[in-house]
This record gives sequence, structure tokens and C-alpha cells, in this order.
Amino acid sequence: MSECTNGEMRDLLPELVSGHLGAEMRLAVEAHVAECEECAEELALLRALRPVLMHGPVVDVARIAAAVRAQVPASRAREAREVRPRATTWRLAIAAAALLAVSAVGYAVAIRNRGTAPEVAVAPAPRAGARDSLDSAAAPAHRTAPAPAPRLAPEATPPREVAVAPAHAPVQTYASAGVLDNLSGLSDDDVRALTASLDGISSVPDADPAPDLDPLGAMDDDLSAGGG
Amino acid sequence: MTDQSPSELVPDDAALIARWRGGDERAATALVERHAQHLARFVASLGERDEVEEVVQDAFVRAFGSLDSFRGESSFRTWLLTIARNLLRDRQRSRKRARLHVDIQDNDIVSSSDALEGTVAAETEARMRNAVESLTPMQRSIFTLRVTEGLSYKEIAIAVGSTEGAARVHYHNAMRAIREKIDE
Repeated sequence: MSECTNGEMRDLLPELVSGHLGAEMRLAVEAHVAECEECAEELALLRALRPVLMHGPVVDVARIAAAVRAQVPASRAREAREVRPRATTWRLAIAAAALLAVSAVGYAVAIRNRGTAPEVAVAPAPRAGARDSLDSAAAPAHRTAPAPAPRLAPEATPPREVAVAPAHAPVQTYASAGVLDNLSGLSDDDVRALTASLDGISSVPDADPAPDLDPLGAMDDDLSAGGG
Repeated sequence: MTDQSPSELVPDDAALIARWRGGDERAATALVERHAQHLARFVASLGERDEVEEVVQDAFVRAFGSLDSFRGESSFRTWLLTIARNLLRDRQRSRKRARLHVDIQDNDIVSSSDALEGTVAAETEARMRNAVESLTPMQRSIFTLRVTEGLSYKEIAIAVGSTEGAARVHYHNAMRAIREKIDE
């Protein structure tokens, strides 16, 4: 018996037997089988085997269908589909509220410092103990920006007094990091209204964060980590 | 008389699933009627003998219970086959743990066909049945899916949790084994 050299056609014999070939392909395979002794023999074997393979256990379809209807009623699927959008909406609303609260805190902190605090250059702030050396002729080479020297807290000042900015104390603000850029579009009335509304929020911190902290950066991290 | 397209007369699986999601209980019945026997054959080909109907029923219950996770990347039948295979695997593991594992290579089906013996045709059928039963469960299930369902190797690979290439090899090994068994 000659061996088949057309593997593609031979591969399609099961589909021919099971009736899953389209008309055009079926004709092509049948034409090949008419000329290929090995495929003709294999096709005959598959046709003989198929009834044996089809002969399987008979299951009670009605009983299975009844069990499915009893255990997973279609009404449950419909209810689930109706409930799901509401749950999603609630999650979105909570996320939006959280985002608004975070933004409000940021605005409150920034606006409180807006009119009173001069902007400070982003250059590294010198420590109080290094003031003399900064003013000396042998200043460090990296001090390139002629930024006004930040007013430093006296060395004897307790830490709490450093963190809590007095009404007119010039402290480093978030404006220096570009935080207030997005407030430029607000009118004075808008700012006043926003400030008035934020003053009533008890969660607004009473004090500025410590100078060496970057709460906005940390907040961004939290938000991004939360997946939006 | 109203004009109806063939798809309206015989709704496909996707249409039935949509109807069921809309609360139509009859759609579940139609899907069970369409696929239950195929599923039973597959379960039996994997070596299950005593609890085929229970496995099939559990597969349907689980499928309808998690229909939201069905993304339609494979056919509904292939998805059912996958669920049935996983259920069967879990059951077989439980049996092993309980030391009640039934040898899946038994010859129950061959002995059940004794009544057919006595004629040449029956003897031929018995030899073929015996040849099929001599296959490993994996070979038998893949061969059955290929010849009875006409599934592609890709679909078979999804159903049995294997690769397309491995499914092809199993099929050809099964065919060779059957030939050898029949020629004995």
C-alpha cells in the first residue's frame, strides 16, 4: 500500500467522517481519498470506529436540565446583571469622593500659603548650621541660582514651631513644586469661595507638614497604587 | 405564516445563553439537550464509568453558575468539556485520597457488549471497541473528540488541558494503537 504524501488532506479525514467540512473542502478531501490508498483505508477504519466511539453512556437529559434550572435559575443571572451596574456605580462614586477629598486637602494647604509665603527656589535648602559657609566667598559650586536665601527657623526653635507656620511667616510652599499651576484659572471670587468652603472641613490639617515631607508625592503614589 | 431565518429556528449557543441571561429558563434546557450527550461521551472516554451523569450535571451547574466568566474565546461546548475534565480530575483525586480509585482501564464496556457477539459484525465491533478501550484515557478522549465531534487540535488542546502539538501526537498514536490492536 502506497503511503500518503499529503498530510494536510489526511489530517482532515476525521472532519470528513464527523461531517464538519465545508462543501468545497469535502470535495477536495474526497478527491484525494479516491486516489490515495492509505487514506481510503484510514477513512474506512474511521467510519467503522465512529459508531463505536459514539456509543456512550445515555444520560437523563431532562433530569440534568431540571437540576440546572433548580440550582442556577435564570432569574438569578438576570438579577446579577441588574445588580452589578449599581455596585460598579457605587465603587466609582466612592473612588471619586476619595479623589475629591484628597484634592480638597491639597488645595487647602496650598491656598493657605499662597498669599503669605514667598516662593523659594528649588535649590537644596541649606541647613541652619551651614549658613555662614553659604555666605562666605567659598560658596559651593552647585549654588548657581541667585535665589533669595530662605528664611530659616532659629536653631533654638522647637520642632513644632517650625512645622506650624505663623500667619505671615515666609515658609517654603508647594507652589515651588508647581502645585499651584492648576489654580491659575481660578478667579479671586472662586478662590475665596473655595477657601471658605474648605475652612469648614474638619479634616483639613491645622498645620503644614514638616518641611522635609512630600505629602503630594506620597499621595500620588497611593492613588496610582490603588489602581485609580 | 411568518418568515424565519434558520438561525431563528435553531438558535445558536450564543443566542441561547443570551436568552438564559435574560431569564428564559427554557434556554438552559435547550443547551443541556444539545450538549449533554456529547459531554457524557467525553467523560466516559476519560475513563469515568459510574458517575458520568453526575459529572455531566455538575459541569452544567458549574457552567451556568459562572457563565459570566465565559468570554466566548472557545465554543460553549469546548468550555463545557474543559469544566467536565476539571471536575473529573478533582473526583479522581478525591478517590485516590479515599483509596477508592477505580481502575480506568477496566473492560466493562467490552463485557457489556457480550450480547452482540455471535455475528461477524458484532465480532468486528467488539474488536474495535476493545481497541478503543486499550487506549490511554488521554488518547481515547482526544481520538473521540476528533472523530465524533470533529474538533480541531486547538479546541481539543483547550478541552483536555494540553497543547495543540501534543493533541496531534496523541491522535496519531491512538490511530496506530488501534490498527495494531485490530490486526492482532
